[in-house]
Amino acid sequence: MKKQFETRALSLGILFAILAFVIVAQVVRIQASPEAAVFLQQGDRYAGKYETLFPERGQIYDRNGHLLAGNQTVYEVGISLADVRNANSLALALNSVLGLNYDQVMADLANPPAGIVYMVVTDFVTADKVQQLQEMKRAMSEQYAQSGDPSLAGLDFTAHLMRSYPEKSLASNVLGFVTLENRGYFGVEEKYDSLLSGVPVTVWVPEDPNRVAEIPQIPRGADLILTLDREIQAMVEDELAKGMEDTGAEAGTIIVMDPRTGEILAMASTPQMDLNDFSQYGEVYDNASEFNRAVSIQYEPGSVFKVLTMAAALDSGLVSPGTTYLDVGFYEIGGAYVYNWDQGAWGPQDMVGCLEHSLNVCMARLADSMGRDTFYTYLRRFGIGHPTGIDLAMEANGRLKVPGDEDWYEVDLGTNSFGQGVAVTPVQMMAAASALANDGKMVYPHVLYGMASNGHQYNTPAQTLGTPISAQAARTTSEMLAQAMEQGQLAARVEGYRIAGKTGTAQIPGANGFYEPDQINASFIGWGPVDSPQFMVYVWFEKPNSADWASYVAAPVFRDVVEKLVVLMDIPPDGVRRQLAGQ
Amino acid sequence: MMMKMNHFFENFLTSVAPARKNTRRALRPYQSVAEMGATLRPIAPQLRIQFQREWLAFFVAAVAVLGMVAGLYLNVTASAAIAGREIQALEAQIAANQRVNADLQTNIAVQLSHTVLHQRALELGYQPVSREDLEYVVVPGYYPPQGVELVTPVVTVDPLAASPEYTESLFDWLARQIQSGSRPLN
Repeated sequence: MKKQFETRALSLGILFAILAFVIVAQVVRIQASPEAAVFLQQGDRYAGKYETLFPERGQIYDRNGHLLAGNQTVYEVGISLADVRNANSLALALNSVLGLNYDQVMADLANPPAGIVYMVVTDFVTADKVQQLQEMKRAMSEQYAQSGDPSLAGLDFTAHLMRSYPEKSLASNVLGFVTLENRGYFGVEEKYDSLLSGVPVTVWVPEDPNRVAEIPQIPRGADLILTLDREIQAMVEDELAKGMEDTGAEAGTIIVMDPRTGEILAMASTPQMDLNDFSQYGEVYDNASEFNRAVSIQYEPGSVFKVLTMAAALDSGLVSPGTTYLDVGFYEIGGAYVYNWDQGAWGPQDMVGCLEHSLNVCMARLADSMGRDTFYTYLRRFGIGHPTGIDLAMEANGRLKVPGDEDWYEVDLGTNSFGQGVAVTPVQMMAAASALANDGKMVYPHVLYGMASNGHQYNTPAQTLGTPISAQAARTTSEMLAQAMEQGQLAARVEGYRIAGKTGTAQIPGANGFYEPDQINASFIGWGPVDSPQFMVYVWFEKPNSADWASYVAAPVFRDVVEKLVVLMDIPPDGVRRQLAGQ
Repeated sequence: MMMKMNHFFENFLTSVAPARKNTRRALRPYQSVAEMGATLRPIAPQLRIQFQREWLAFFVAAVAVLGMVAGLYLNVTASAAIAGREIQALEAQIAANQRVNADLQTNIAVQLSHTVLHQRALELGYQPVSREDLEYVVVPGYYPPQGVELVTPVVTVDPLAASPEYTESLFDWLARQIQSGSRPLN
């Protein structure tokens, strides 16, 4: 009996030893086999998941640190199908709180797509709505713990950030907006989209807590500081709205720039929209170029262009402020006649009178005397017909026909001299005129003051686009414009401040190529104080119906803007400024 | 195994005696063994028990060592797992805090937005200052602010350079325990 047990025990021992040996051998064989890598990969598939982490979008501030674009938490609402206890409750709750279609939710829950365990119901739900749902879920869970009916079990919320604009429509033309796909459209949001959105990183997130590693800290997108001043921007938008109401214009644009640096202090055009509700974009705008007319719409500027013609004539040595001519009311050029705005003859005039009375005949004579080569060389130097490169999306090029172009005629030399037959954007016109206010140096207009990223701030230095005219010619032109304003443009004058400026009333070409008889573009460009320019303001109203001349439409708005601007920018009246400077 | 050896020893002791009858020469090597067997026979049960006890003690010690090692591994693994979960929870908390910070910044900006402040100022009886209301004076030493500085110097730790939670091997731990155990008390 004893021997029999011994034999059995021995047999079992040998059997188990063989089994153990076989198992170990098999483990070693699999580990060393060529398929080992495949098996490991299969195992890893269930050991974790790849997650793409999107950095928080950078914020946008004005030059004084006021937040213009930030981020806010919103929620993705989804349903864990395995946890659902009562589909009817879920559909009812989602219908009542989020306004989702009850039948659709029920249908989705009854027949979910094959193979999914989690169903996204909706996204970008605000925190208050989610709080309502969470409270309902908790209340039902407590009240109906036993029966489980009704129940919102299975309802899940995943938080994430989306763009938010605390100032709503303020500076909307400059900022642009961000869509649900986190892509920037228009303005700064589009121009600096890659900087703001940062670099997404895909990381492996193991399910096994033993293998948990620290998720790399993804640097958030760069924060941008704009040159805009919130208070000036708000004031400009107020004045634009008032101007629109007073003039009955179809659209309007006002820009304020520092002519010494090219920093845009304010930029507003109509219409504007609440950037938090960008879904209304299609209702507000007919086409994309309307989003920011200051950079995207080119138009024939009319007489504001005369400041460039006069600067070119002075710089080329053709005339001086005291140069006189006899204005007979017309000028023949290229087989066509150019007339003054009132069809009148203004008699003997010097160059200041030429600007003061905005005489087309004078300008056509100057351009013709300079010659086409000289005249267009100056216009090219002023950047006409080329984008300024302003750091905003969708800048238009403008249009300058030059000799040699199929559609250029000799008469264009005359009409271009007073701003007809040439198309510019307001910001292009400002960049060109900045040379007059800045000792001949044309500045690069820009809205980016600085950028903060990874603990460093980089400020944008002022850049010049060239020196189209000499400092002397620039100062002389400014002085002539100031004199012209003092003598003629009373509506644009601001007491105590010497300002250089020019009105521009331009006819609008219709679809057939002829100018519309009753529609005008009214513009005004001005800068000051003349002896030390700190601001340049451009006003443009499209198709106003209150008056036919810019001196009645744009000049008063310019004055109103400057009156408030000097307060906001702490610019004392000229007399006080000189007195203070002497102390 | 131990039972088998005892059995062999017993058989050996009982089988050496008849062999002595055949040849003196052949039996000579066994004589001393037989004598020893004769001597040991009375104490054989005692020896067997003692032998079994030694093996038993050896077995128990081996099991204890194995148990200790297994316990150690389990402890270290559990600690690592808990730390891993804590890391996951902390990372979720960091993400939540970042969202809260973003919300708070935006909410503050809404409260301080131009429209809200303007409205509040009007309600408090203030009105926008006009050009005529201003009087300019020279304030010696005053320089108007030149742009905003968003960045404050912060020390950031490169996660790749951060040391892992556990770097100690089992042998390191044992050595540390032995060292601490042999350290004189003071």
